[in-house]
Amino acid sequence: MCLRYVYGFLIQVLEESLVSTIARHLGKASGFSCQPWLSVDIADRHFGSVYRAWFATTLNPQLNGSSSNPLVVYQELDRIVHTNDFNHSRVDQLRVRLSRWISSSSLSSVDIASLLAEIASAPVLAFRPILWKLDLSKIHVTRLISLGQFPDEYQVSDLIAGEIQTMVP
Amino acid sequence: MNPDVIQLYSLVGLRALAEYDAPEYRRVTDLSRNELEEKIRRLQASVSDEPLLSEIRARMSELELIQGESRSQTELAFLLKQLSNSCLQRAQQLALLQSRTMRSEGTSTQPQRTAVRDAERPKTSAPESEEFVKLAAMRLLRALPAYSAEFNVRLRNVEVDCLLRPADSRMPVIFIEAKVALRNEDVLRSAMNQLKKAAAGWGKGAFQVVLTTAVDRSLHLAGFEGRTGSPYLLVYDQEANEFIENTSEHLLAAAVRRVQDALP
Repeated sequence: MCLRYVYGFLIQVLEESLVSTIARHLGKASGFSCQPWLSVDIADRHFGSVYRAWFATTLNPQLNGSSSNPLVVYQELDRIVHTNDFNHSRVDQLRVRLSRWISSSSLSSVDIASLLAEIASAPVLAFRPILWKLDLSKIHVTRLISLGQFPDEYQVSDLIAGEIQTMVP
Repeated sequence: MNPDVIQLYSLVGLRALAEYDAPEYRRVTDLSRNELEEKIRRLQASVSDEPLLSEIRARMSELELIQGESRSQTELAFLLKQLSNSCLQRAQQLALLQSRTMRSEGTSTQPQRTAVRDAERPKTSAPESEEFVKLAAMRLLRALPAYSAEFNVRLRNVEVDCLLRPADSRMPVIFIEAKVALRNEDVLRSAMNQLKKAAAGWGKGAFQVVLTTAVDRSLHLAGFEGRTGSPYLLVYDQEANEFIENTSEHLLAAAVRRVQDALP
């Protein structure tokens, strides 16, 4: 009798851990994320196509700031690239973010130095936006990092291709 | 240059970021502060004989000084931000210098070159051309604020490199076909044909422009010499961000005239 309860409890725990996805946790099936092409390209070349990305659970989250709104970021980057606006502060910000990400990564210092030079000299076109839709039902909740600055802003640092659908390449 | 020094600079910058903007720090790295400090310590030990180490140590001391002596949170954030950015900029500067040295020595920076080249690949088969077309178009838009630019526009089964559309339909549309250099008459003729096909049916409602960055001196520019009307030949100097020998003058004057005519 006692063993049955123990087995039942273990099976319940196992089932919950297996199905505890971000979709279930947040009550949303999809996430939306806007990535500059260069970061995706670096991840493809140096991190085995494992992506670090923040996302929101709606395309246009009204309560997030502009910098955490995938639609606004997409529009902004698209315009920057279209007009080759190399002085735009968003381009500088992306160069800084990508450089910081690379600096703290596990890559060798030779690769880090080479990538820092690459990011610093990349043309505006390298920052063209790619819009992703994430399948949150495929991502276990333990991989979720809440950033906390805005209500609908989350991060996953180990996304793989099967969890991503490219909406706008 | 020891690449560890470059990484060390950027990590000191990251250490400052962790102090003044924790959400941004979490956005860019999974390292905890302890792990970051450990990494900095390890790198410092590995570059103990580097001449730049004293400079890095000075930045670390500055970090501690700012943390200890700032009078308010605003002051602290401001000073740490300056420090963080300057450390990262130094790392980028050293990385660029190193990459240049490696290239001139013939050692590999292949991933970098590939990425910069690939960055342009999916958009166009002629990236250099696209770059100067955009810059030239933006230069024209400064003088023509009532216009907006579209690039690689397909009309009547013909693609033109740029189309400047006016806000008011009474003003002329400007078709631009670009060639990096006009080295022979065939290149010029193909650009003209392209424009003719695209602008067919627009009549006086369209201006045609051949845009280039260089014209071969020996080239006979039939139809352009002394011409003040459409089609126009514009020669653009990308570095100066200007049109050479005022080649844009007639186009701009004509467009402005039409704009004035269109106004009530």
